[in-house]
Amino acid sequence: MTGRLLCGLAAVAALAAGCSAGMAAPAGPAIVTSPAAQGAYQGLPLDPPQPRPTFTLTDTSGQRYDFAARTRGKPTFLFFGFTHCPDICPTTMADVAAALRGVPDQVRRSVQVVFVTTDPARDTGKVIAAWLRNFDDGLPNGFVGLTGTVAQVEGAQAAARVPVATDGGQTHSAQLLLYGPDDYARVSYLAGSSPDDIRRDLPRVVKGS
Amino acid sequence: MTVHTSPPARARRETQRVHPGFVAAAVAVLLGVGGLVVGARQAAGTAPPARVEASVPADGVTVGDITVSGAWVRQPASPTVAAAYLSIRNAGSQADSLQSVYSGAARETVLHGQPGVVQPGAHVASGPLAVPAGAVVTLSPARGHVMLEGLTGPLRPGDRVSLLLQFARAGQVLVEAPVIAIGAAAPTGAGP
Repeated sequence: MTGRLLCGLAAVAALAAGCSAGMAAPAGPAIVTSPAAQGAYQGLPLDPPQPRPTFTLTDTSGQRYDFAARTRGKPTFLFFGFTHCPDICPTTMADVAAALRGVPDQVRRSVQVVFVTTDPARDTGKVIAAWLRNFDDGLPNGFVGLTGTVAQVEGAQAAARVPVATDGGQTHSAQLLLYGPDDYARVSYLAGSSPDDIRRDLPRVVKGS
Repeated sequence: MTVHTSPPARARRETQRVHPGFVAAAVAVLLGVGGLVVGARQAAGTAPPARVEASVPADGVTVGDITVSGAWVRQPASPTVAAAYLSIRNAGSQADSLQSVYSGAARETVLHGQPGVVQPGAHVASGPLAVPAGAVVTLSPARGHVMLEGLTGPLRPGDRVSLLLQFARAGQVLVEAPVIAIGAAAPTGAGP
């Protein structure tokens, strides 16, 4: 787990978690030298906690979406990626969906998932909506997909304190942020987290402890 | 990508060896049938639920010192792009490298996986993937993959995607990667 954590940090530091380019993170053999960090969460703890960001983008039906206003007080996953992405993005969305399917219904119903494209040139609302439906099928809350101008999606990334994507959005942070009902994120997940990590943390985050 | 180095497994070296000529013939056949997306598609009514656990059979294909096994592809959410994952064991005493991958399932395949080589940047191929002597190199989610870009058709659970791997020393290795459901757990323990 420590190795995984370091890999993930490296990925973020290098902005390297992009689906097409982010394989640089685990440099060399995966050597695990110490047991898992005994943190409160399975995911990567955020210390200090990060406040829920404020940004307004456009949802897949073309309507304005004020992220802070629409998700305030709700446990919310936030991820930046793009649909023309073979590895990290679909894996992350599938992991979130799998985690949600594994928690009690009451928890599942309270959680919102928001995906923001880093590739607005290609990811129209229609493209994002079709892509997200592959993951949220059967879940009570459909995943929200957002797009905007390049400046808007870059602003959203900055507001969420993730490294701003480059290369037309294809090299982007792999950080999956999880905000609690108090509008702070205390844990996030990086490439290499498992659905189980998320599933185990989720009830606690939802409870706001 | 993880690289586990271990002594060559003697037993493994006695496993199935595929004559290059046979591989070439097999490839020719497969290329001719269904553009390398091989295998019967499951009837719509019998498609597994999204959460079905994937299991990968012991499916190692050995050519020379190289055994490739545990290949799989997640059903893509995108109509255009997917990723293939697999493990490569080099049981020999000399290093080898994966030069390229060909699949009729996509117009283009790009290796994204060599640690320390891929720089941040869009669609940067990692170049040949080193497989040191006695090592097992595993491409897994967030740790390297073969990108299948420009898919020639939909990939659904139950499909099998053939991948023709070109190694510098061992030559060509042909494996089939089963497509798992979008929501399926990534296969584990698939190494050779």
